[in-house]
Amino acid sequence: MKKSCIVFDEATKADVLDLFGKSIDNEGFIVEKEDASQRVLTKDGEEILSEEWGGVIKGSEAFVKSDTFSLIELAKKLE
Amino acid sequence: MTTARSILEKLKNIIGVEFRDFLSSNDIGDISLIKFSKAGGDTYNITNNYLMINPSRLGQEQRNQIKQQIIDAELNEDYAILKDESIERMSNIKKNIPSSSDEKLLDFYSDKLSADYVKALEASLIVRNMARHGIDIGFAKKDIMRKYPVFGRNLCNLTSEDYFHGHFKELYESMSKEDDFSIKAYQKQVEKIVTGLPYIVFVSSIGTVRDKVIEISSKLARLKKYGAGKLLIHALRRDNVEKTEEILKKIKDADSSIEIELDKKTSRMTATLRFKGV
Repeated sequence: MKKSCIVFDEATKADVLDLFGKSIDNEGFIVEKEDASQRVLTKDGEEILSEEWGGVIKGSEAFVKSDTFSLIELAKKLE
Repeated sequence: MTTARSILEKLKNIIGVEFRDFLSSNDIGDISLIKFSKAGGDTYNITNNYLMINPSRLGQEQRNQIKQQIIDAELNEDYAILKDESIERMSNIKKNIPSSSDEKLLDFYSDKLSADYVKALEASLIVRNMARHGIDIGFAKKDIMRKYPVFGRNLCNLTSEDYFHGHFKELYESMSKEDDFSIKAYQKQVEKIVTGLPYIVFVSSIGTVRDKVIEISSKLARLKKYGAGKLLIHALRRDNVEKTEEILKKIKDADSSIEIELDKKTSRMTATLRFKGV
């Protein structure tokens, strides 16, 4: 895995999510735009609050969290 | 390999004339990052080595093409598209991933402590390394405490003070020689100590009996004041066990209201001190 030279900031989260066909529900969770009842999950099966969303990696667009434990797993994969 | 320049070329084709004009009238020589951002309020902006693009100012068709031609291509080539703050934090974590000796330490504990403790220990070793390099560890410590509210903070602090490098390994060496030893018992003992902080005192070769009596008396006074439950005193090695016995005698002589429960072997001891009636 490598770091892309494309990044995004906090203010554009909703726009970037929209690119992936996702939105944020009224509880702050990332959901499918076409079906707001379907919350997006990490590969570990966890729902993701938009405030804890860290980005996307390969693997059917795997959404990752920004917490330390998720970043440790990413760091280990990073070339 | 994708570079910012190759992505810029794709963006020129997607966004069109206005963007090409913007690029040609600005110095794009050092651009290494393309950032989706609303900072500055413009549709495009160049700051330091960033090209900032405000996606909310692009048309739907342009956004669709960016997703299909650029973002999907990045992901397919195993590039991670991350939030700016996450990139910085991940880079700091990467630089402080456990060393080979720390990996051996994790290996040592992998079949002795619970999976949650080992995971927390790994993160705590990274926090320890980051702190030693002067990197802000606030977010990482909070994440450890949030994920493991019962023991996270204490485990992180004990790791930073090298207790997992020293004391808990010695504890294993000591316990493993006992007739009734089991990994479960060791695990339980470690968890008892970790969750027992801050009401725990370690008796070692450092400090005199008098120093430790003062330390323990002060913690007991705090316990009494706040109505908290108990104080643990923990010692390893025969000389420290004997030292602890001497300390406990002085504590009991000074305040007979204290109840002392002992878990004692030849080369280790844990004493639990409580106030009568609490």
